[in-house]
Amino acid sequence: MDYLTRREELILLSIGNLKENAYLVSIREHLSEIMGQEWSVSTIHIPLRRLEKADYITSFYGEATAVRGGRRKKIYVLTEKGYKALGVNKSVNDKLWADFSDFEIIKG
Amino acid sequence: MKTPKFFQWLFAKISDDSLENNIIGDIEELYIEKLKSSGRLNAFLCLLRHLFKSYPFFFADLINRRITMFMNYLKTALRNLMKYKGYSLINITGLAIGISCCILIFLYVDHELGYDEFHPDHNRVYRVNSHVKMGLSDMSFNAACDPLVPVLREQYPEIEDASRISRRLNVLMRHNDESNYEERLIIVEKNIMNILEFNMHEGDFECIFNDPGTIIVSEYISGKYFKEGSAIGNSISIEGKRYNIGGVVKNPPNNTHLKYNFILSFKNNNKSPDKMHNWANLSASAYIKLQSYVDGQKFAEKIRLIAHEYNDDYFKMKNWTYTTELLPVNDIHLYSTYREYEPKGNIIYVYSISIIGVLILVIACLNFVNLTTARASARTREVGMRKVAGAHRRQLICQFIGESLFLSLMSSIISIIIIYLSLPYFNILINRELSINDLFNPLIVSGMVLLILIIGFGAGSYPAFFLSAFKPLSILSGKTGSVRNSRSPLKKMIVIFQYAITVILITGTLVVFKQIDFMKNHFLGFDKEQKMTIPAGFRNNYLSIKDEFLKLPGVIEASASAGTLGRTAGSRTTRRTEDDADELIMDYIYFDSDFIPLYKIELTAGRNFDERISTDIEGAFIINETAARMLGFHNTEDAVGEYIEYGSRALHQRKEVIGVTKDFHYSDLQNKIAPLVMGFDPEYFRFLNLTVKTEKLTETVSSIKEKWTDQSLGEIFSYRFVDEFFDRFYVSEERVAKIFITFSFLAIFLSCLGLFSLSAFIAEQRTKEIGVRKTMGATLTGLIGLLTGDFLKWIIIANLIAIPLSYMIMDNWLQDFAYRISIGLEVYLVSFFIIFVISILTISIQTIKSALADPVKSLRYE
Repeated sequence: MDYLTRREELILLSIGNLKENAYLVSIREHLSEIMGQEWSVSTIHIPLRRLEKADYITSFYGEATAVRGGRRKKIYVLTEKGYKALGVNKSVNDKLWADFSDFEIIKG
Repeated sequence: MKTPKFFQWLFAKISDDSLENNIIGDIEELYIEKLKSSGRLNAFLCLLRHLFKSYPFFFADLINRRITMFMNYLKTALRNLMKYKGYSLINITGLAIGISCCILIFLYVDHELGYDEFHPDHNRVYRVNSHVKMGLSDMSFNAACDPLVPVLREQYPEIEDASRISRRLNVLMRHNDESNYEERLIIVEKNIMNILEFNMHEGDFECIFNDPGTIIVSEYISGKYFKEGSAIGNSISIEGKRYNIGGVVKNPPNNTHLKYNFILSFKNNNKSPDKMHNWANLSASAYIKLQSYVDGQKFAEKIRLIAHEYNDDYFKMKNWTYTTELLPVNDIHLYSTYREYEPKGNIIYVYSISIIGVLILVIACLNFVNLTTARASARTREVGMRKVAGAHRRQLICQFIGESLFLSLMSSIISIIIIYLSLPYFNILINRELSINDLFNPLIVSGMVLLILIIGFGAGSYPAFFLSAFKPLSILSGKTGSVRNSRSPLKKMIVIFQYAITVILITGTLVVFKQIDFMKNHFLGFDKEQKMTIPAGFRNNYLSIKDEFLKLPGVIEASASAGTLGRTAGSRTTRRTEDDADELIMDYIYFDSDFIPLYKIELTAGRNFDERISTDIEGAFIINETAARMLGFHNTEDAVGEYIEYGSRALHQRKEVIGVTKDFHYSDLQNKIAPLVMGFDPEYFRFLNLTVKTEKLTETVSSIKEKWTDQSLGEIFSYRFVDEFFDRFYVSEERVAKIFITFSFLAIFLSCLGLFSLSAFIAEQRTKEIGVRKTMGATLTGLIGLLTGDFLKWIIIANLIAIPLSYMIMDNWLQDFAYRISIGLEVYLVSFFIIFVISILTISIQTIKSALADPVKSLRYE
């Protein structure tokens, strides 16, 4: 299994967090809020496409809204493979963090 | 409220899902939100920031997608190449051969046109030539009369500098105990450095002017005689005079009319410039450099009669008209009408070979276009599939053009390899020394890139635009599935055009060969077989020496002469005694009584010299028919017994004409036979003419050499066979013929290559038709006729077009020769036959194969 990049991981996590309302603008907002920095459109758009192609997420079109000039939202949801990938990622991360004893020093 | 159109457009352009307008929707939502919270300007700036930040990502992504598609195109292109290995090979190598021919020819032409352009300011440097009209004769010299140069230098402000060069073709050089004839000695004045370029390898050019008895030698001589260490300081002797080597000059470039191995100053040559004031003496070439503001042509007009301005009385007295002509130094090689020291080029040959180069390239390109097109039309199904799978027309166009660009690029790469490998042979062919480095000049490189583009686009555009326009439905349902290539008028025209070019090249080659053969075998008016000439220093003992040589077993006849066939002793003004008005310049040869029988020269009137008649020796002339006619004798018999006067008028030297010979070609065949006077003056004799037996020739030659040394007739023994010597006159024509035959062979080869693959392709496309015809009972011959008929028709049409053209061209070429062949019908019959046979063979390989094929096989799959 391929490991996720940091950006992909973040995006997958935010899609999971946003539940049924995960589309480009909301994902961007969510991430910007948490990380405190502006994300440009393409930094989310391109990973999204790659993730969809790799079957980590799937998408459907939501209803059209007036704000979008009558265009429909493309809403993303995690697939089983996406969940698994996140799980693998997390366990790897956990293992690495568990062995990383100097954490306190950095924090301090 | 909407995002500005500009942004919508930009985002749509770079992102992939423009169909769903997804991203645009997202952008718009962002924009509106921002608009509500912080106003129009901020929203705009925010969008702009997004755009800038996004562009690199989107762009990288775009390229990534393009590469994926490109890899797919490359894969299909390579698969297609592999599937039709034969065609691909023919296609690429054919074009590669065409390109390499064209580039090689370009190198040659560039070399020829670049003669003497290495001299700085070469466009201001001229050589002064002279044209002298004396009575009835016209003489041209590549030299100016001696006192003219100081006059030009001092009296004309238009001239920056003027200088003289005297040249010797062969000199006897001695170093230690080694004696050899070496070529090319030049004698110069100091200010020649201001006009022409001399690059020193070692030492200083001025040494020869500062230090008497000093000589400069070329790198070639220095490398030949002084292998170790520097040549400077050593001494050599030239024609018996000792010189110290004061410098080594770099070998002059290949493309110069002025080559040298030794440079001397006039001071060293006992011929101080201040002693050169005889207006009738043209001993040196004169070079001038004009000021940059002077118009060469106008100035040439101005000094046309300069000699008369300064010394009119003298020329009036001699009854000469002396005109001066200027020839730009870089035109000497190609345009000179004068006798030159180095082999001359000919602008006509340069033009014709350039045309041949272009024609070959055209043939190769047409092949390429024809084949690429033919092969592409078999790919209609691929086009249909791509269209169904959603390919845009633009993408298909790109695909086909890209593919043919790829092919033409491959051809160019192969052509560079071909050039690299064939350059040594090409150098032998054209007798030049081109190097592969000449290839990397900006003109060739840019020309090649342009060629790749033109050929790629040209060949790719038919399938690109024609095939991509098909409706996928009609392609896949098979309606346009098989395009009948043979019916396309473009293809017909291409084949006809190629064949017309080939016909012109073949007939041209045949005519050139016929003319050379004619010149070589033309009866020269004397017997040139088994004749040998040897320079010999007689000391009034020619009779006893002749007898000595006649004792040798291999020698049949012997004769002494001054000047010999192919090389006169000189020329003099000549006139009839009673007729004072007109003078003629005539060539002179002196020989003994055995010369005429030895060369089997025919006498039409009078008699040969006779040793027993004392008045014959130094008292009689034999003249040729042309001389008799020009002296005004209507009948050759009339000349016998008359007196003619020669040399300076004041001396009243005259001799009796005792015989008249038939005209014989004592010079080459390019020129008409000139008037010739033959005398019997033993004091001038310098040559021994021998008739030798052909068997045991080497032994005979060594015995002659032994005898020659015994009799101490000179320092170095050298000999020449008259027939070989005469053949040398046609070296440049022979070279042209070789170039012609090489390139016409290539042209024929390329045309056949094209024809071969085209016929194969058509036969393959008509497999089913042939299968059906066979089941319906068509005969083998009928089928072959069906398949070859079209091609033969085209070949005949091509011949009809090409024959008048080639006749015009070759007739024009022949006008250069004083004695020439007439172009016979057989030239055209032979060329037609050659092309016909080759084409039939080429086509039938494929047609017979497909006509023999089992119809069951070809019809089984539908």
